[in-house]
Amino acid sequence: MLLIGGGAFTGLLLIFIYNSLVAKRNMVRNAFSSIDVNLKRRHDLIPNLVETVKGFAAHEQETLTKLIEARQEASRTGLSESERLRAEEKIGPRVRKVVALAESYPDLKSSEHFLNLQRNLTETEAQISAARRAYNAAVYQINNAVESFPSNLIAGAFGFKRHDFFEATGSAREPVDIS
Amino acid sequence: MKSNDQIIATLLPTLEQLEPDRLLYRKRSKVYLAGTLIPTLALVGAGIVFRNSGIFLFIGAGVWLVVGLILYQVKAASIGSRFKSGYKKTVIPALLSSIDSSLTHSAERGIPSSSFVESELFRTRPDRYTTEDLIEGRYGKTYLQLAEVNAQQRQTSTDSKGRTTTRYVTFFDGLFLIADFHKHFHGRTFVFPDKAEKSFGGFARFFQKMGGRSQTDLIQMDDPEFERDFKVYATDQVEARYVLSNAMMRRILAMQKRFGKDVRLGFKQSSLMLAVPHHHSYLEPGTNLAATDKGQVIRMLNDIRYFLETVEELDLNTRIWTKE
Repeated sequence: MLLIGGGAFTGLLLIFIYNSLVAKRNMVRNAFSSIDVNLKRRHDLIPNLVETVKGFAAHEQETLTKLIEARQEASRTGLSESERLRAEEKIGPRVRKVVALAESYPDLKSSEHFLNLQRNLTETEAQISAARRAYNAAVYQINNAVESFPSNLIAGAFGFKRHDFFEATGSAREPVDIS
Repeated sequence: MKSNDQIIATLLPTLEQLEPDRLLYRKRSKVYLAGTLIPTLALVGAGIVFRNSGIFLFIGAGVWLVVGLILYQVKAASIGSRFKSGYKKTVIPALLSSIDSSLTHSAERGIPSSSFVESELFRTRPDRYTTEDLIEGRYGKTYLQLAEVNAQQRQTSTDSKGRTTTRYVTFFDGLFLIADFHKHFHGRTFVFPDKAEKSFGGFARFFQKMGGRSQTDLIQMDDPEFERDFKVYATDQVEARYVLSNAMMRRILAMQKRFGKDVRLGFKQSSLMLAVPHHHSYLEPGTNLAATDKGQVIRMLNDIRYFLETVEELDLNTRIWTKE
């Protein structure tokens, strides 16, 4: 009787831990898809930004090229989740650098089209930041579960893995001058 | 912006006109209250001494008290109300226009009870609800409504003899603000004071999960100080962090230091709702001070500024996102 009770308890515990790990993994996936949506939105805005800035600041070709290269790098097919996030981390600071060019070009700064783009980029960056924080919170939870006993046993058996945090790069943490 | 002295100089002629009402109220209050209470007490005293005719004296005391209080209400309290109403109608609009010309004041109006309930800041539906002193308009780029609210819940208890007692318990008394938020969002996010986590740490999270609103999850925020003082519930993990950016969490903590621990915030339908318990009289002129008292005018101005500063404190006038 005791043996059956102990077996049932262990079985229920395993189901509970397994389901909890699945829920945590789904939270990570869900948060990643939110990041993904906003990263794609930023990708869509970049060509428009480059074209607009080029019209007013043709001499800033190097800054613009670096941004285009970073976007191309992050758009490559076959990148793993963490490779993709590392590539994306380079884009934020480069977008900021291009937007900051407006300080030296008053015509660009007052362009309605540029101002609209700037607002959209600020919005997108805020959304990426929020999604990144949600993703990191989800990663923190699954990593804890994957490393803690006894959930690490279930995680190992069913292939639940640690995930990398999506860190904001040093310059990405700096406030953006968007006024 | 006008200086305090300029504002007072503009108001003085009108305030001087209100002063006779205040003096009349004070004089009549003394006369009618003394004329009511002294004879009432004398009749009660006589009733105790002359026991044979005591019942008639007690009835007489009761009748005198009721008639006296009615007369006080008609002859004195109405003058007091007229003075307060006149003072508010004169002073508050002038003070508001010195802050932002689009702000208006209505002493009789407030936050509708439906808005209070729909804010979901409190689980309890009020059985008694009063609201007054609505300040409404645009402060900078932010449209807002701010009013005093008192919300009470009916509690009924039955004693061992089966007698039922009903009483009303206040569960919120303070200022309620609804302001246009500077970012678009679709879901609902709530920030409530967290008393459990301070006492029980992470263990409290188990119980906190049950304390949310419908379709919300407990969200763990990444600012330890904020997480210690508040619990956050939201319908969307990402949106909660979009609304509660790192900077916004710091601002809410700063605001909490000003207003006290029990502030509650709700983010819903692209608006911010804020409930601040405030047990002192707000925008109420005292009748003990002269209508022309400068200190009272400045106190009111500071009170208004104190609450409107919330808009700046939470940076709601910064419109750098896609919402204009």
